[in-house]
Amino acid sequence: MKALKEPTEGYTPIGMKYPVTSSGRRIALARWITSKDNPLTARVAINHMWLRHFGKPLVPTVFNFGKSGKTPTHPELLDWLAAEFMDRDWDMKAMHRLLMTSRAYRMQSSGWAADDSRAKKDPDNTYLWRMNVRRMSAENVRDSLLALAGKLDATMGGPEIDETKGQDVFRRSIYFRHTPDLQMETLRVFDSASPIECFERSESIVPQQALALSNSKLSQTTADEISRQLAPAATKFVDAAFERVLGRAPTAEERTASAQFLKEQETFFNGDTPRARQSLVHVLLNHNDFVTIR
Amino acid sequence: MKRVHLCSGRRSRRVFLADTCMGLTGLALGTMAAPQIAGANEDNWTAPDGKPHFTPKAKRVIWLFMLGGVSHVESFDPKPTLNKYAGKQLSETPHRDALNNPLTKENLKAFVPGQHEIKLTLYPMQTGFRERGKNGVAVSDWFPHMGDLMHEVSLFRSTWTTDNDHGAILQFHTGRHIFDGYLPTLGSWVHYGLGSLNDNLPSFVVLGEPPGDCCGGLGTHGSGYLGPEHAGVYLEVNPDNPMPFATPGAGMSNEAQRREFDFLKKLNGLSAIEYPSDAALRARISSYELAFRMQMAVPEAIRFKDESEETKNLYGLDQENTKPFGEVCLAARRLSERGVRFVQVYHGGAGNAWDAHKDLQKNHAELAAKVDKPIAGLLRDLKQRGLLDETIVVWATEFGRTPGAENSNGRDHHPFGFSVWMAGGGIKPGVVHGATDEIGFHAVENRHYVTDIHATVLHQLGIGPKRLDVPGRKRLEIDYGKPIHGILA
Repeated sequence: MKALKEPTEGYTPIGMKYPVTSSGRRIALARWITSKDNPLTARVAINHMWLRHFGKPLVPTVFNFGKSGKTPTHPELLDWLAAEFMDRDWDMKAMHRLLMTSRAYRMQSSGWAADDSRAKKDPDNTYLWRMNVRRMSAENVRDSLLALAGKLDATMGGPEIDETKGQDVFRRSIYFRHTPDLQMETLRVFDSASPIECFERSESIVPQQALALSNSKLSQTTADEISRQLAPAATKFVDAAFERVLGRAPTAEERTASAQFLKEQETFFNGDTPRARQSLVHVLLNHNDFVTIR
Repeated sequence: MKRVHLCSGRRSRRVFLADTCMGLTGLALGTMAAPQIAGANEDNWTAPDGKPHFTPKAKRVIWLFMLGGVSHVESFDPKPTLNKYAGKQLSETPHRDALNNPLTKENLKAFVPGQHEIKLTLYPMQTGFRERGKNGVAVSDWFPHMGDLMHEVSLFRSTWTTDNDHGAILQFHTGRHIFDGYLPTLGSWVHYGLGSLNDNLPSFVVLGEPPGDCCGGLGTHGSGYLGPEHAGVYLEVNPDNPMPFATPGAGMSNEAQRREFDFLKKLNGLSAIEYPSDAALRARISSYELAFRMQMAVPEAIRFKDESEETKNLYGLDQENTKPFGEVCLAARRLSERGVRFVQVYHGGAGNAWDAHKDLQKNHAELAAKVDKPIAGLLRDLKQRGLLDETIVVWATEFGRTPGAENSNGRDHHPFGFSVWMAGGGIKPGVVHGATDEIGFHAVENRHYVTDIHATVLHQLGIGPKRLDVPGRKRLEIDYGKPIHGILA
């Protein structure tokens, strides 16, 4: 306790000064929390990782593993993953790899017939007979727009950025102010984390998301930028635009419809080809597949 | 499996489906109803056609929900007996049997067992009360404006729920304890069952300050297995900036935007052929349709340009204290008037909850002063415009508060008996239905679980809840509730 009493620097401490030597109680607690004899920590952690990859947790109450929490849908899987996590020395990257290379992860999210017996027995996909369709998180949506245009500023760290500058400052979304009172509008409409409490994000589909993607300056300038970059593709513009924005080639029908649209827009914009192309890219940024992960 | 008749000429949000049914993607979009019948075991099931099942008494609902739990004994169910036994242990009073009442156990499914234990030291009323309204109903002094209108409402003092924690918010809207998950809420059932009255506005709108994730979050106006397109759409009430991204900006004419939206619909429609069972895709397509039409309609509804000073003052917009919630209530009327079926209004989120574990007097006096005049103003305004006849107004809260004291000057959560009122829409005015015991502990007369309120609302809207059942989704008898016939005109 001697350290507490002796002022050594040339200022008056405003709070308690902590001893140089530790009592060791915190490290003991930390060791206990991460002990192999305590399965709870790894279970909770792996449940969160699972939630982020599969869109649904194994224990539905991610914030409550206690008596009033829900039981896991796959208890053996949860335990196996928790044990693997500890065995792999708490290596999260290894776990991400394990989850994402699993057969469950690689299953199709769609393409099953409406009268599939599995769909009848398990409409909520509780038992993972297919992959869940997920939506990009709020930050992903904004960052993807910028990344597609090659405009995302990947600088790390630094002071928080004014939340009103989300349309003009191209830093990653996580660096913007996000407080109970002040949040970037674009992120808020896409269900960004609650700054007060966030165990699990909710996912809504509301018209404001459509407006944010169609009417924002960000999506319009992104469309502009992408269409300029793809201009040299000329005759292959439709294919190039699909590949850039949706990460896939258009289907034959989509290709025909898009070529037709380009032509009509050119007429509509009095022969302004760049404007017509910008219009096509802008539509693709609003396509369901842009925000959807299958 | 039989085909689902989605292509029958239904109005509203489903119009786009009907439209496309005629066109290029029609056949495939028809099969998009697949997830709804995924668990089908009844071959003759069809999705709701948007029409009432019997002649409705009401067209729309304004649902005012106070978060945190308003003390029933200091609002609409005053209990002078508490003053008589102030500071006494419950066991020292003639009302000691309340604890032994079997309802004390039956009526409770504690979120965390042992938390929010029954408080045993009786706490006197923290405000006065008198008979109010033309029918002379005892209402506390914190609610003089609503009190003046007691002859317009049907008050029931005998509501009960089972969660003694704030999951009760979710429970009030889904009818199930939070342990049972995120099921469709009343507003989503209405949205699912009835067509829209105005295609330019969402049919189910949410206003005010919604609850946090602890207590249901988005789930409290969610739609569970009915699919995301039936969930409530939150609108911020800010007359100066009524909706973010409301206009496409200078570079885009209305016509140019329409062309893009049309083409987008075509592309998403092609995806819908490829993914016929994707409920999120279906919801996104309809959200774009609605977004296009909302751009004009929402800002118009939320700007109060054409409202007279007199009307604004009715809602308390002239006073700083009542202005915020007054604006929300005025927006509720304007949206309702324009055809929004279900307006769900929250008060008490974002750290302003009625959750008076301590300093109840300060908490309730302040919050009541913020909402009392706006809510009374809403009722008066609906009435003077002739809208009240076809609009059901519900005032509710998650639970009441304990007759006993917590932290010397507060009250704890109380699911055993509390007050709710309803007005308009064919509800009998001036009725007091049901009662709690003398200390406000148990609902003892005409007891109603929260789903009885759902059933009453649906009944007035002309909906038989069982006819909305989705095959493969089992509901219990208590999920439907029973209409409270004693309050129906």
